[in-house]
Amino acid sequence: MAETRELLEELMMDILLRLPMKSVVRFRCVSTSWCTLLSDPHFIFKNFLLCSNDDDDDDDDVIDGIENNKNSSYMLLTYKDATTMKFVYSLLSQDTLDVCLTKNLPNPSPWMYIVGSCNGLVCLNSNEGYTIWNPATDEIKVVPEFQVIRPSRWASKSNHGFYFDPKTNDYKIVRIVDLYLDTGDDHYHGANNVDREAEVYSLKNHSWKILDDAFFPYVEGTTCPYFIFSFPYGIETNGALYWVATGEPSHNTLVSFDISSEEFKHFQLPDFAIVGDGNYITLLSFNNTLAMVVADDTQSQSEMGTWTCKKWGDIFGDR
Amino acid sequence: MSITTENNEKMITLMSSDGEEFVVEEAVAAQSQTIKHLIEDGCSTEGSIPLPNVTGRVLSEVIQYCKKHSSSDDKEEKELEAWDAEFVKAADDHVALTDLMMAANFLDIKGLLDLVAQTLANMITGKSPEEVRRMWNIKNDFTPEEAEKVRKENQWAFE
Repeated sequence: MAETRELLEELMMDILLRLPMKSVVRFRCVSTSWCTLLSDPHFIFKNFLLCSNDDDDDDDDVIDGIENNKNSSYMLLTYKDATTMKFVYSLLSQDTLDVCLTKNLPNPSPWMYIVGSCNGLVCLNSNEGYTIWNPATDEIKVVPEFQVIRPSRWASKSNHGFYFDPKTNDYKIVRIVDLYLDTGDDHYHGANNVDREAEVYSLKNHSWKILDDAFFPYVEGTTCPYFIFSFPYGIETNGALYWVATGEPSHNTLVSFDISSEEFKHFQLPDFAIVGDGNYITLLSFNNTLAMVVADDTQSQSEMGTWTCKKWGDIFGDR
Repeated sequence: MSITTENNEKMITLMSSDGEEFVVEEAVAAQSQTIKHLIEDGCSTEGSIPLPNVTGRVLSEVIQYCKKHSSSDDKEEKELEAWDAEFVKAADDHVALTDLMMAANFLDIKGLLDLVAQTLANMITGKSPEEVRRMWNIKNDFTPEEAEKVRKENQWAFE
């Protein structure tokens, strides 16, 4: 059959989104542009959600849901299955809380947790280090060993965040290590010998880069540093990642990392959240806005509210 | 000039790129969002609507689809599905299907576009990269080294 036809790119996309994953992966060999498209985690995720939907009749609704409704979002849960004792990952629709799919986590390990996920890629941390996993294709990238190492006689607290950098079209991990001289009693608040180091891993370059100026704020009027040790890991919203940091005496601040400039900043928290144990503050991204839940156990009630983050530097404006 | 039938249905004339004319009920033609908007904008009051991107052969297939889908209601969903399956089967090869998909896209008929996209997806699922390249005239622009690397990285999908 000699006759051929060329097809518009957007129409080709419509066909490729409907292919089973094995065909998607095989067709990376067709051409360089197909290879780029069919390796893009965002494409894979869309295809994955479409094809893991069992009811054929609803296929088009799923495409519409993903493409037309920008608010459609999913929740990622990880837990140890009680019967198999394996780590399991489940994807839930945020609207209905229906479980879309459940899979075993790769590389069984004594402990493992999800650092973050974006566009269907999941960043995991375990005792073996970081891995980036695409559950749709089961492809795994083992991240090389990080560069910031704890010197002997020093103790450290580390935190991290996984994010997508739209400027370089790259997936990255930022790792922040707060170091303090180990006095043996795990008492690091107010330690005089402290240091903060930070590094960024780029999936594209497959390597770590140490950042020159890891910002280390101090509690005003003291030599007391703010450490990042609260859970969860960096929360991404509007182009930056955020953590709550705590300094002695129970004084909280908000540390941010700008994705584009790779700079750290810190922000004043609303009055009622400044004093207290940082573990009672939970950050989350809500409708593309940084939100904060504050539990105050002294009054046996929780203060809860969202503060909009309209632009960089103008944070927690309205409640 | 618009013609009306005995049961007072308004008719319009569609003209293909190769000059073939098709007289169809407005309700049938309005399955195409593109034509619907042209009618609403008053473009059909004089003569026929020219469709420069669609040949007569493809347009007659599209009209077949639109006729069926404008006369069926939701209760006949099962029957309509069977009809759709027969319809794409008749289109037979990927060249006809690709033409049909381009027309469905230009005429903005979502149901037909989805139907053809799914048919083409099913058709290529088991094919090799070489076969897919030949179907749509896609140039293999990998260097031999790149080609070998990509093939090796994705070997499991060939097994």
